[in-house]
Amino acid sequence: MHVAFDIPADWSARREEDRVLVQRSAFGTRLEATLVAKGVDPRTRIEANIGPEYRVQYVQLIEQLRTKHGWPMKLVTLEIRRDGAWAATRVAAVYEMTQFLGIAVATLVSDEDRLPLIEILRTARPVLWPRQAVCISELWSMEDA
Amino acid sequence: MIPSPFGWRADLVRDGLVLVHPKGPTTGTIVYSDRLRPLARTGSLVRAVLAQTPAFQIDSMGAIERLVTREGEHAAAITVLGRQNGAPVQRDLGFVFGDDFYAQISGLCLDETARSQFTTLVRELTQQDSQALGLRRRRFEYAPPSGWQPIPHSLATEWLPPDYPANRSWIMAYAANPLSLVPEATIATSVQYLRHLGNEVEEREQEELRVGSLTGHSQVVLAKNANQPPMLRQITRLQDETFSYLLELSTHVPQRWTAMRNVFQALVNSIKPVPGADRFERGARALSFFAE
Repeated sequence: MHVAFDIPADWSARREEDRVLVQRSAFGTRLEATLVAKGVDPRTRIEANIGPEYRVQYVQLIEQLRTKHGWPMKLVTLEIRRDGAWAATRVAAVYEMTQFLGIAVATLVSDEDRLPLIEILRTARPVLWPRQAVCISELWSMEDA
Repeated sequence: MIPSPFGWRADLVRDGLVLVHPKGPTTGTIVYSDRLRPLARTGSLVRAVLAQTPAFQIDSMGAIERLVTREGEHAAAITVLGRQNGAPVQRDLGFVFGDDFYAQISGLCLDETARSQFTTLVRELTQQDSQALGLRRRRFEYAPPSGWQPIPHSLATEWLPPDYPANRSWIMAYAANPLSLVPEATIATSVQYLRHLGNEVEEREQEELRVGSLTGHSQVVLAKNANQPPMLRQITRLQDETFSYLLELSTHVPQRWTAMRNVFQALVNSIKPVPGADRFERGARALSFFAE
């Protein structure tokens, strides 16, 4: 199970197990998305891999958004600071997808990436097929779920 | 559990059994493993087995053969030709599917003259595998609508359309219930449950159904409550001599009702009854020194 996006031509995407990675060029803005069970605090993913010497400041929260497919979506922007100085900006989206939460977190490398990134975030949709078989007719398939 | 073929050496190992050809392991072996998880598609299972022997190179892969064990469990078999350390090798794989696990019969044939014997034997062993799961609530076969996505709820599966949640419709396919054990799995019970949840339920058209050897009927209801938009639901129940099959189509989008009903009807038409256990003489097992 994972979150899928529509990817523009100048971005690339790959999937590693249940994690989807979307990136603009080799060192450009990078988005990572996972589908987790409801109940997980999204901040554990949004604030992941931030060292103790850094401080997080949420600068924007937009609620009651919908993706192009109609899934409820929240968009947050946070700044990561060290000794009061700006170090990085992250943009994250949290989606309610049936009994799951989709969480997509991007570190902005350039402000120019913000709008195309948000356009990508608006295309999110869940891919719910689990690795475990859920119906008899799929048992005789050679394809992976 | 599988019977041990006459003349083969059987060695019990952790999680299973190794059968060695009467001419020795240079001709071939068959390894049986039970209660493996997760239950997955045959393609995934085949790739997982072959990945355990990285030296094996695939030359060709046969088609998946659908099987049913004589206890009535779904199963599959497939033959893979390849090379191991440069030598031609045949792998015959059989899988018996439980509710949330599988048993695996993995044949390795190193002698080209014994290939057809291995292919036949692995299929026979697959069909003779005894899981003794008995009469129980279990999933049944149907063709899910193309593009719809599943949410499993234990043995039941909820299906969401490609345009969900804009189209708040869904299909619930419950597990097949043995009539003798769960006689209360009826349309009336489903309607009663809707009322129990606080819905005001208006019963609409009823229809008798026949799908292959299955018979039954369907009931359309309109459920209203204060917390959400009205819901149209079609409850369909079919049965054979042993099992009942209950499915529901629900929608909060009345303008999609006709299109969703067509999808639902196609799914219902694709239902295949749960296979029955074969009660033929178990003579083959008399040869087994590994018999239960």
